[in-house]
Parts: sequence; structure tokens; C-alpha cells
Amino acid sequence: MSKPTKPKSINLPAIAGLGLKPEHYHEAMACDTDRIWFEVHPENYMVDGGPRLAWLGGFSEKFALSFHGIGLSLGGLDRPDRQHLSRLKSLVDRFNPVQVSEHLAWSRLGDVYFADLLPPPATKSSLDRLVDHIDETQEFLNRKLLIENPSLYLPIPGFAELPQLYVEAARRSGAELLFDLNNIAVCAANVLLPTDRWLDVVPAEMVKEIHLAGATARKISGETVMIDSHDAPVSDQVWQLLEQFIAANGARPVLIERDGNIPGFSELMAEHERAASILSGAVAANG
Amino acid sequence: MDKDTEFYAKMAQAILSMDDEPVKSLFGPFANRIDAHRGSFITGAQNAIVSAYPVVARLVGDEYMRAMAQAFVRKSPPKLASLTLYGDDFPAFLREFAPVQKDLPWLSAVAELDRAWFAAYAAKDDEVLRIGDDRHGIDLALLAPGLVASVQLLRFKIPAYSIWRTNKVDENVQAVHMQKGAEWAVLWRQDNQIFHAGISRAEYVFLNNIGGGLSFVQSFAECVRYDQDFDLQQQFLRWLSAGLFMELKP
Repeated sequence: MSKPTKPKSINLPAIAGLGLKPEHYHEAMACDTDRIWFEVHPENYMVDGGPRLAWLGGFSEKFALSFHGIGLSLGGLDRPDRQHLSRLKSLVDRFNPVQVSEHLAWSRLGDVYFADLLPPPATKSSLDRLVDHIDETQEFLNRKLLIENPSLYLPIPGFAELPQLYVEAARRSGAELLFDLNNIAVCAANVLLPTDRWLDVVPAEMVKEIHLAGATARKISGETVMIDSHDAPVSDQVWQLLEQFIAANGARPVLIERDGNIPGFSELMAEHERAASILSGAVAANG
Repeated sequence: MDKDTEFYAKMAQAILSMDDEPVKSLFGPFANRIDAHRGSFITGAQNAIVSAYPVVARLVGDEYMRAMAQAFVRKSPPKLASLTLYGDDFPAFLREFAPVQKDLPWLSAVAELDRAWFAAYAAKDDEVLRIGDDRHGIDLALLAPGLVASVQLLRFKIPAYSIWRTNKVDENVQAVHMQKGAEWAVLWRQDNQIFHAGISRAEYVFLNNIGGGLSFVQSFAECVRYDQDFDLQQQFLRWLSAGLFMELKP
């Protein structure tokens, strides 16, 4: 049997992908390489050795792989942590993912890591810092980053301008965009930032990946807040946003994310198939 | 403090405490929503501890484990942006945690074994010593190979390994009597599988000495103080086949 070769493109194929979970290793490994790609959080592989890295090695040889970071704190006050960057770079160099993405968010202040994606203020000074941090990261990794738009639970300063800040940060740093459609639905529900505002402002040609996930409603002091929990199926609203974006702009790599209440592989594949069908519909419509 | 610095400081303060007050000036009537971020922070770090200490969790039950993990997260929030490595000081925390000290004084030792299992799992991939025909004529007793990085040696004044082992592998947990006294254990990884074994004090000393850079014959000399029948050849072959010794540096 010949060894599968890695895709040579610098972006993922415009097909549907899946967040890779250890419990689905065998089923995922048996997938057809032409119909799926996989995404991992590199932070879960920041170990010195052992089965976890061996496992990822097997996947990276067979499938197009994307690294989706959650720990760089690009939107933070502090510069990206050098130790974290070094660990990330060694993984990037070893497994050569097709894409590397991170969040427009912060998760570290001083020596505390908050294990969450916190929104920075949408201000000019914040934008300048963000651009510096993306620049520094891209230079360190020698890679172009994709930047993901954040979810909002709180009306951060300047939140109405967040879509513009998101695009401007990518433009100034030469990064590309990972457009999370669940996050724009969460922003709309929590701070009344309309999804159309994002769709109007975000240039389609800069979007190199789309994320879909489920959110969960949580009562806080009697008020419902939508949490970007990734522990539920993709909502109808988010599927509609995907159809809208793809119909207007053509096919993109689309990822189904699930980080909690992990269902069986077949359930995730059903969502994957739905995304694939929307993408192939767009390809057929555009010839 | 400029406005941005104040924003980050107040957010951090409100998340680390149970108090919304610091962010009231930032978010007004929406300040209580900071609990969404507080919840993600606590739950994420808490889940990391619960999954890193499975035997401790089995022993105390989910509710108690989550409460202990939450207390730990509040005392020692994560520093690294990878929760995979978070919680190596959880055993030390349990030693000082008053409810555990009183009712479950052996729990921190069990936590040490859970941590050792993870350390063996995540250690770097060292090359293992091989004795092939090309090494014919070498005086093996004089070799000082050291131990591969996955090897974890532990010693306890109580039968902690027996408690951990039965809760790790047995469907029906076996009773362990505290009168059993001190125990020594080794955990290691071979071919990406984690192994563990209870060992004698002499075996512990032998392996610990090898890990400290002594040769087989030097290590053996101390072992006979604890076991006059200590069989160097048998020990060498046992641990060689288990892959504990590191390949010689050229």
C-alpha cells in the first residue's frame, strides 16, 4: 500500500472537516482522505513524548490537519508567552499542519492562565497590541495565522466596532480569517450585535476557514446568556448562516467543532455530511 | 493605570474571585454575566484535574472530587496555557487540605501515583538499551545507562500502591490493610503502553541508583544491605526486557 501524501496547498481544501477527539481515533483514521480534514488544539499535544504524539503523527501523515490554538492570548496585554510559542513551534515543525489558527481573545494576565477565551476591549490601543502580537507570532512560527472572531457575553468597550477591529487586525498583520458563525450568533443573542454586521464587514476573500458549533443557554441571575460551549449540535440558525455565506461567496473549509458532551462519531459525521452537502451544492451552482 | 490595563485587571479580579463588583464599572447592569467566564475558567481547570487524577476521583466520588478540584483551582490557578500539564502540585495540595488530612490521609499518596502515571505517559521518547551481538565482550556490570524518562519511582510509608492499583485496575476493589506498611512502586512506558509494578525496597534502591548515574555493579552494592539474596542478573534481565534502561550515549 502506498503512503498517502500530504496536500501541498497552503490552505485547507474547501470541504468539511471535524475536530479530532481521542475517543474517535479508529473511526476517524478509517475516513476517506479526500472527503475530510481534521483540526486539533495543539495545547492538547504539548507533551514531551508518548502515545498522544504518536497518534497525532499517524493522523498528520494521512489527513490534512489544522492546528487551532487556544492559549496564545493574542488579545492580551502581555506579549505572547515565549515558552508557549516554542512548544507550539515544535509541534508545527514536527507535524506540519496545513493551517494554524488562533483567537482574537485573551486568556492570560501576569502568571495566570484563565482557560477561557476572554474578549479584549475593541479599542484603538487594543487593535495595535493585537496586531503586534499576531506579527510576533507569525514571525516566530514563520507561518501565516488565521484569526477567529470572538464570542461576546458582555458589552465590552467598543463592541459595536468589533467586526471592523477583527478585519483590521488581520489586514494590518497579513493574517487571514477564521470566521466562526456560531460566535456571531452568540454575539447577536448576548449583546445585540447583528449577524449581518459581521457578514457585511468581513471580506469573503479573507475567510479561509469557517467554524460551526453549538451553544448552550445558561441562566445568570434570571437572565439567559448564550454560552459558546461547543457541547451541543450546530443550531438551525448557524446552519442558515453557513448557507447564506456559502451561497454568496462560494465554498470554504468548514469545521464541525465539538468539545463537550462528545457524541458518537456517526453523530458528528452526520453534521459533517450536512456541511459537505451545503459546500457541494455551492460548487455545483458555481460550476 | 490606563483604561485598557484597568479593563484587564478588573476582568481578572472578578473571574478569580466570586465577586462581580470589580466589573460593575465596566459593564453596569450586565456585570453579573462575568459569571459565564468565571464558570468556563473554573470548569475547564476543574475538568483537567478530575481527568488527571482518575483513581483519586474513583475513591472520593465525583461530587467530592469536583469540590476538591475547585478548591485547588482557586488556590493554584493554571499558569501554563496547556491544561494538559496542569495540576502537578495537586498531591501537595491534598497533603495540606484539612478535610482530606483528617479523613483520608492516604489520598495525597494515591494522587502521586496518578500523577506518576501521567508523567510516564507524557515523558519524552528515549531510546532503550539493547544488548545485541555487536556489544559482545562489553562488561555489562560496569555499564551506567541511566533510566529512560518515562520511569517513575515512588516510595510510601503506607500501602499506597496497593490502594491505587486495585482502584486503577480491579472492577471489584480489594481491601487493603494499612498494617501492610511501606511500599515501593515503579511506573514506566514501553511501546506506548503504561506499566506499573510494586517492587521491594532493594529493587527501588537498585533502580534509583541506576537513575542517579551509577553502574549496575555500584547499584547492586547498596541493594544487598536491604536484601542479601538480591540477584543482580535477574534484576538486570527483568528491567532490561521491560525497557527501563536508556540506550548508551555514543
